[in-house]
Amino acid sequence: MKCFSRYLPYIFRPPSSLLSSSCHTEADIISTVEFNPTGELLATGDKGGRVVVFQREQESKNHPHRRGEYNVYSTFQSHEPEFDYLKSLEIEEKINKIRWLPQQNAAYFLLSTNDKTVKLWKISERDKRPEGYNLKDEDGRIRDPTTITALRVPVLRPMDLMVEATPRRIFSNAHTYHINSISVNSDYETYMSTDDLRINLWNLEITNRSFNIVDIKPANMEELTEVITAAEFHPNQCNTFVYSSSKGSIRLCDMRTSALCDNHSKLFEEPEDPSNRSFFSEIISSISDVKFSHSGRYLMTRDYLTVKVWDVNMESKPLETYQVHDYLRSKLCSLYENDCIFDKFECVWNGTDSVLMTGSYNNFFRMFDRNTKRDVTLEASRENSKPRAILKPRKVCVGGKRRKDEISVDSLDFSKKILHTAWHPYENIIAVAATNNLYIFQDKVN
Amino acid sequence: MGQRDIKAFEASMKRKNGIPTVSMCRLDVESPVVKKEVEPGGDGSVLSSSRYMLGRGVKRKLSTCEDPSQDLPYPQQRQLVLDLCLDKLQSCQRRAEPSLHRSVLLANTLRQIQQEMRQEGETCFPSALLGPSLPHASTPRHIPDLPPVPLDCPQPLTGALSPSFPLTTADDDEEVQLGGAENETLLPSFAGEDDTRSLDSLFGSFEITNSTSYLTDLALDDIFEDIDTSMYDSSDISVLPCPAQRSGGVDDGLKSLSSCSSNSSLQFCLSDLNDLDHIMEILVRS
Repeated sequence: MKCFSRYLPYIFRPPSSLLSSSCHTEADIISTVEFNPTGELLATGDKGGRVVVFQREQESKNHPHRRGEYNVYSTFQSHEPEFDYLKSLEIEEKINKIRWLPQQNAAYFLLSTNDKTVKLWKISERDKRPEGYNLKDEDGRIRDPTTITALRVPVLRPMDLMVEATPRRIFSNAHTYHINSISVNSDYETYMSTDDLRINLWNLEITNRSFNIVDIKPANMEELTEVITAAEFHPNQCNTFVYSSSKGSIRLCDMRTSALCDNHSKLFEEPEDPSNRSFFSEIISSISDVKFSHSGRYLMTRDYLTVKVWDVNMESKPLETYQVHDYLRSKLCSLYENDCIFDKFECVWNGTDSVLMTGSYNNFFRMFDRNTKRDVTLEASRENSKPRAILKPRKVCVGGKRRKDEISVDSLDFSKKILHTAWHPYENIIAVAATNNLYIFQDKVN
Repeated sequence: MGQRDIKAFEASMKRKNGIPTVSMCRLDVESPVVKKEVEPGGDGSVLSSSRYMLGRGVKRKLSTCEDPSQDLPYPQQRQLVLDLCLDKLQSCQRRAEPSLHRSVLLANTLRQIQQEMRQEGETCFPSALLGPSLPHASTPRHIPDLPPVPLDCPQPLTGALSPSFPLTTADDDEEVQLGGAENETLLPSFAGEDDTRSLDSLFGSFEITNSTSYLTDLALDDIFEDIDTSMYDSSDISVLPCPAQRSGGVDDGLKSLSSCSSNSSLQFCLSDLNDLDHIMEILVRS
């Protein structure tokens, strides 16, 4: 078994346990994965509107091998299905995105959104409870005041740890179209929510008002040819954000220039390669995800076949382009027919902005090292992941003689797609969502 | 509420209820000729066109890596994509959660193909075009800025293809009928691929265009003159009033589509949308 430390400077091992839901229904399909800013917590949202938060186990001398494993911390129902009576349509409860707020006190806060409503959730621990009330007994029943002869001061006594999630804010009725992104601003006071045609800016404290900062809805809907696919705030500059479109362009906007940022400050667009032109050129150029690097100097975009890194200061073309699964280029018609061409893959940076990761089909996911220009394909599957073993690199055979461990393009399972992945902010720990299973891989370089 | 249990490599990963649209989709093909092989006791989803063989453990010959559609001559490739486009756009209305993003991409692809066909049509004999292309494409000169997807227009999608008709003359109506007839005769040759679904959608579109032929005398603008169409906020195509079609099959859907496109319901739809938008404005402002 080849060790792939030759390709990348880390070795990923699967954990001793696989986090999986017990019932395999469509509601368990994971729809978003996100680490919190310290990496201590990992949140997943699923199609059934539930959020599951995992917490990293503290280091312990008793169980050194369990250091850094993630266990379930809290589970709650974030969104419920709704019915829009005016349009006779059901509003899905599927969680589209989760974004954590930076921690400011003992409690954790996250924003979760479905197609229409954003909610701010507070996750807090309770490990003490007051005992010894005067007016009620331990069961909560009111005591008869005439029986009280002495007063006592209630004391806090330890109890079993309880993690409770409470909705603190509900931001609703601001989006006519489906919300595809939320992004917390670096000022930690505001955030933006993005739907197909508009971007709204919210104050975290105020739920009954939002400001529209981008509106690309044409006066005549028949002229609509482009929608917004993703948006994100700059990690450091609270006035800057980017949004990507279905036509493959990214616009950077500065909120200081005007209240409505319909006019971009920068437009990142790569001219189309005429040799690759096909009926599906536009569809595959649609950007499914855009992410600033941690430094804020670079942008990463994901379209159907590639991942591109842009320098924020250069609009004319990307700095780097990485092929995720170019062998699919000749299969676009089939992928169009079975709708796979509309799949929206996300992409993530590692903590040092040196490695990119994104998903593919057949439960494969890819990593690209920007410095060494090496890339690797890994698989998130139970069969291939024995505990403590190293993840074996996979290879797709595109033609000619297929080698022993290779898999041919025609044998790929297109129902097993990895759309959502997350990378720990500092360490080499990755979370990969494969349909209804969550894989957490850690680098244990000893 | 299901809990996520930590299971140490327990139960199998197989899901019983796969995602309806895609389960095992293989791209391998033996030949582009009709060959409908379904895996015995296979998964629920079957690729609509039997052009693509479903295989899972079925022995295949060393097949080409290329898409079978790439073996076809360009016009037929284009026709295939066009058919698929229309298919998908129609099915958008039947979906539980229609996606604006998807609809826009499909519409743009459709527009691009139609534009190409239109340009070619200007150099070829128009009658030659009538056959392989669809009725609305056969009158290229009269197609305005191609609104094949009126995303918030109250008409159902295929009915919306008919806006091109109001702008045509009576002659073109005949052309349409002609085109229809020719289509019917020529389609069987394409239907050698046994793509019955695409046939349905084509015939379905005829149904609707016939029922909306009353629009021939009216210019599109006149209908909407007193209605502020710019205010429509709809996140999907299937706004109204066809909730029934989501539950029905293809035929049901088409029937309700044709019933929807009657003039009275059209007006009803439009005023409803006006109210909707008004309410929406209030909600957003509050």
